[in-house]
Amino acid sequence: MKPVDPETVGKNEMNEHDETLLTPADEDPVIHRHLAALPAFTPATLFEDRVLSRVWMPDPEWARNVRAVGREWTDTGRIWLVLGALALGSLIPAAVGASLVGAFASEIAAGIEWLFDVGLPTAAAGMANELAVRWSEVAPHGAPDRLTTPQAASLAAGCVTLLASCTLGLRATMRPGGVR
Amino acid sequence: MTFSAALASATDQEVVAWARDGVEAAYRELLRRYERPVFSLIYRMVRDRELSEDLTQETFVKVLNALDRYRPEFKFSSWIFKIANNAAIDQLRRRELDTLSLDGGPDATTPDRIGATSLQVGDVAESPLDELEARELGSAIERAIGHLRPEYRACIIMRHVEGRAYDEISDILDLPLGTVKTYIHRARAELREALGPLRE
Repeated sequence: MKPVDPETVGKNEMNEHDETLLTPADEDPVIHRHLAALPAFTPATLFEDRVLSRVWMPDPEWARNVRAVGREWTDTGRIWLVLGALALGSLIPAAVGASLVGAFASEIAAGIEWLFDVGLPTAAAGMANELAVRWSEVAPHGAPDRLTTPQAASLAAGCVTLLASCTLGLRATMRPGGVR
Repeated sequence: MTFSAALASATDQEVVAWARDGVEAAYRELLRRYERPVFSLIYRMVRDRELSEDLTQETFVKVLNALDRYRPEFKFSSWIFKIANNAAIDQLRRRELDTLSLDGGPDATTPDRIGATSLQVGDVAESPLDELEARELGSAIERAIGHLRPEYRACIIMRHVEGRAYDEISDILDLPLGTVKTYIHRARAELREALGPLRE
């Protein structure tokens, strides 16, 4: 293949009698009309995906750069310097957090205790109560206008059960070891 | 401008540069640009839809896996058409070698053996794919193209269907410019003769 010379792009390199300057339509209009009207065929669906599944694509440039930097740091030993700085950097917030927990341990424990014993059960009961009172506003289409006592009780029981199970789950996972 | 709009308006060289950077959308853009012309060229050369799909797939896999070897001073279209045309010509040569005699295999000496190795032309049911091919390639001009010699066929398709310049066709087919002109001239003459009264 000959390279494309940017200097000559768009310029007529050949003399005006050269037939290569003619367009296909000028050379033989009738044959050209027949051939130019031929449809382009399309391969079957998913052709693109079938091809791409067999093509190896390089990683994006940023990923290659990260890998190159990582390799350079490993080779020069700079990686240990960076890891040390990162470890020191993460020690500071950890130390601050630990000192805060140590200073306010009893308050935190009491807060968690209150949340599980009073806060969440009250919220659950309140939600069921509110739902029963405002049933006419929030009832889905086709539901009865007014809840009977057994229906309200079963709805409230459902809400309380749901929230209680969430509460117990949270309690199991969130309670600090000292309070358990 | 969105990235997809930028891709659609970029030159082939720019799209290739993005593809080399691992941008999948650039690979899809190259496929979108060339799947129809490449498939059409191969299909008109080998005249078998299923085989053309395989050859087109091979062409793209070869080209897209070798993008790092592509040199931007060359036209991308010339490169991909060259590979597609070579795939089609190789296939036609292979098919020529594989063609069995209608009168039986070369080693068939007895009537039984001749019967066993001969091709039974009429007993093969036409598949939906065959029907599709007959419909797609059945027009007078498509049939006339099918009767051309493969090298004439490649030249005339690239010139009149794909609108390629003579020197680009010469690059793609690895033929001297004069030979390309001669082939196109002869192909047109054969097409004129084949089309006869249908021409005007």
